[in-house]
Amino acid sequence: MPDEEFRTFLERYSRKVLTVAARVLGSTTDAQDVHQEVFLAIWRRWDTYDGQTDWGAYLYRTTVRKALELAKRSRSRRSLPVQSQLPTSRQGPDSRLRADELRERLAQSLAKLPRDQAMAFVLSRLEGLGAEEVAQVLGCSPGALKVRLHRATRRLARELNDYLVER
Amino acid sequence: MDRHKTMRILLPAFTSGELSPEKHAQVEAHLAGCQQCRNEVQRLRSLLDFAGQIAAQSIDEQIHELAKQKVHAVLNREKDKYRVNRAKVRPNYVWSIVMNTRNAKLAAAALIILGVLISSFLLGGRGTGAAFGRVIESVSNAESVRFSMKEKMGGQPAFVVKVYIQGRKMRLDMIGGEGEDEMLQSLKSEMERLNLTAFVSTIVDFATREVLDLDHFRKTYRKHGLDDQAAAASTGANLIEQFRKIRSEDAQWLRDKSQDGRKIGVYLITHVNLMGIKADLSGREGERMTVWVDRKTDLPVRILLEMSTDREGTSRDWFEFRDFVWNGSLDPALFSLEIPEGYSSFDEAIGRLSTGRGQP
Repeated sequence: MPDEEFRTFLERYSRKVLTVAARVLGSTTDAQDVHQEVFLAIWRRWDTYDGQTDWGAYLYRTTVRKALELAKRSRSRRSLPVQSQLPTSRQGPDSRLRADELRERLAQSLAKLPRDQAMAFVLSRLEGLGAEEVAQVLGCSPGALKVRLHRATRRLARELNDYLVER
Repeated sequence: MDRHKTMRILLPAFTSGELSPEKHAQVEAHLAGCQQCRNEVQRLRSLLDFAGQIAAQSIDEQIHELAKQKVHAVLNREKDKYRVNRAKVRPNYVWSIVMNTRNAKLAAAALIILGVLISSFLLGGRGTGAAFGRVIESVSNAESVRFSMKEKMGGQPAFVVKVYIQGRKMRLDMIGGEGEDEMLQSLKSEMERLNLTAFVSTIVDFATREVLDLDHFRKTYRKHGLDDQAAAASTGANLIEQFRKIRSEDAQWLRDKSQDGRKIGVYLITHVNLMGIKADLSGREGERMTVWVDRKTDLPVRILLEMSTDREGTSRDWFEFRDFVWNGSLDPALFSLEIPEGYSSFDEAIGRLSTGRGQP
């Protein structure tokens, strides 16, 4: 097992994986679980990857997939929202609580979407990647991406209706 | 489609400012008279605004450090298990296959079952049109194939089997292993001394259900029928049947890449139940099947089946099928069920082994 190589790999991509997971899940605790799962899985298969593996794209897909799976599994479990740990809100306590609820509901609603739509929304809207890059990561045309993204957006807006209108 | 519905579909693109000026103006004009769509735009804006806030968030360095520490802690535990697994490796595994009658029999049985599975891949269900369709169809319509199968169990060296299939006949040659293992090296030098290219071969005719096992070290043979157990194994784990069950969303395209001037598509089969390997990404980690496909021929150039053999999912074992040559001509002698000159009956070898005279 090439320890040094893997250590370098972990150093290079660790923050990205953790950030993506946290953005999907809204919880740094859950994000750490996903982070650990992603790197452990790669470590176990380290010698089966070839030199041409596009790690950026691969990690985006794997991390989002695992985060969505976790969101699905823990639908009933309340987790510590990332929002409450970060001094980003300019709103009062009530609206912050509401934002926390929305944060949690968003993760659950994403997990209920078809996988390709959820991936499109996460990478485009929560990660802020450009359309071309997202299409490349997902292996689809920019046109197909647009359709997935718009479907996802409409469905999420519908699902989160109660939380969005009063924001 | 009525105008309201047409406009509604455009609302996400309108909200994110992706419409042409003309379309944008049309939607704006519609919004002026449609409360329902105005509400929807408000919701969409609110959602995108919230998504933008999330996108602006970053992770505290302390939390990141903690996450890395957790990974290192788990990896250290994993490494210990890996070392334990290595210690359990039977160092004389290869010799035990060659020398131990019972294991030789088991190895042959395993090869038969594997062969039945592989051949069902080729022989079963010609022209099937399932999802992942063109690849399955090309495989089903192939006339012949030869390839290598590499099997790796935990930290052990990988064993290599060459497989030849033509029509309803198949040959499996166990040719040795890959790695620096001492036993593999002695196997290799012994094979070189005896001028052998394989140490165990199995030839199967699925039409007549005849099987010939050859042990090239001891120059023994065993001729028998393809028994019901092997036939049942083929029914229970028919590869082509499993391929048929793969839905399009289960064959996830990973990437295309260029290799030796060929364009290769890489697919991850996320749900498959094959050779005892249940690949289900929503279940245990790391049980999966990856297929590399030549875009020009739609035929696999490499298949990797990964599995765990322990309950904790810590042992990583895999089968790799590669070096495929599809539809090439194969020497009919490869599939001959004639007993080679100088080979004696397998049953006699049991007697020889029990008196210690079977050592090569």
